[in-house]
Amino acid sequence: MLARDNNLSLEEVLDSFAMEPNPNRDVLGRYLTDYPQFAEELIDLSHEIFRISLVKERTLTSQDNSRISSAWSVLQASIGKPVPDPLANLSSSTMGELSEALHVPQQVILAFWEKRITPASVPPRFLERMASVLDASVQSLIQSLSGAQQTLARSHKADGKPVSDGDKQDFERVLREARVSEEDIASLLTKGA
Amino acid sequence: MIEPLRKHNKKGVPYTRFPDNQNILVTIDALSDAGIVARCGLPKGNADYVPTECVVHMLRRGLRANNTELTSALFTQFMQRLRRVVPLGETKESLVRVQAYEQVQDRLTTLFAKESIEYQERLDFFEIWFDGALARRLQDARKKASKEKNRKAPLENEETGEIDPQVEQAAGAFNPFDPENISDEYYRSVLDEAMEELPTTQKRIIEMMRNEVLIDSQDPKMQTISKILGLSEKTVRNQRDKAIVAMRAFVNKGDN
Repeated sequence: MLARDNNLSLEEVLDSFAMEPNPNRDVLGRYLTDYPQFAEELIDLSHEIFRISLVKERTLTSQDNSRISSAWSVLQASIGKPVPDPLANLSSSTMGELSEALHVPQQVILAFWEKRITPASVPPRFLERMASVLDASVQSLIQSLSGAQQTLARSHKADGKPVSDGDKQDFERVLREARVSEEDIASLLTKGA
Repeated sequence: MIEPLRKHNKKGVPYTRFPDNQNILVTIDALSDAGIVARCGLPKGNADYVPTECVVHMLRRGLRANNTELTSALFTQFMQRLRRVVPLGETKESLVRVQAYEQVQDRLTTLFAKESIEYQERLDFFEIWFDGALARRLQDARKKASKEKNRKAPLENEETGEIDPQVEQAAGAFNPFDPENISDEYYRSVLDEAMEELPTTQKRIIEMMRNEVLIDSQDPKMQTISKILGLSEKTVRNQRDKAIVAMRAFVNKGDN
């Protein structure tokens, strides 16, 4: 579906492969050649797709029916409720997941969580990728980042003054303070990846 | 009218549904809500069976229109389809797979809830090709689980790369993906369970073997199993044989 594009992230490449109309060995071979850096993940996805094709449908059990009822209760209770702030209540595992998917240190993710970063200074593509990991829309992410800063979650040592409310920073400055390499900063700011 | 999908690929081209599914949607769009529910409830094998991708479309539409009656019926039908393919979790290994399915179910429920407020582009994937989208979500769930459990099994003989002749002989000429066997429904389900038991590296080798990726090659541009996994040719062969022996034993278990 996609021509080779070295700027694509792992998530984008896997999504593209998963949506191939006929993910046969030729298609897998092409992806392995075009994206050797994601080879293991592509193979795992190909394996997962193959296994779904093997599955035999079974009869529903009473446990299945009770899982379906409870899922409906959860859905029914959430319908029409405002979409929760995507950055509120970020677990440490989600922070780790974001850090890995976006290729930035956890310190940068923490700055997002603290709403210390000016949303307009973040490249749209980076926001898109972040929103995707959080299962949120870019709009709700921008809204969240525009809000008041969270209570500072950590103690500050002598090399920096704590940031106060209303004193948001540019994404670039946060990256630099997190000691991201100049090469990575340039890539994150121009390509968002 | 059937609303086009909003998700674009990174070339800026919008994703589209498969033409057959688009045609089915146009047909059921003309039905009443009760008619849509009845049609979506037809079992697989019926000439008018509605693919899951189309059920997802109608469910999303119901959510966005705040149509509780339609949503309730279609959500139940959708979940029934999903639950019918969740393994029963009879072994420790298949429990991991069951957990991945449960996580996917919870995540989908959350996405459907959000859909009632704002369009969720991630759900577009489930309207394009349900199995592919499900595989992606299962892969994510498994990745999280394996990080927690660090299940990756160590490889024996990795340093020496020696092939165990006994294993090589035991593997024999067994081809787990023999098309004749694969066409048998029972064999497919046993093969699925057999693959679940394999360590990650062996699963990857088997998957590449199924896709005819070469073990090794003189051509430096060629992607090979050896290169992708960073293992010597001998280690790959050894692990492949071990995987085949384990799978053959699992598949033959029922014959004894």
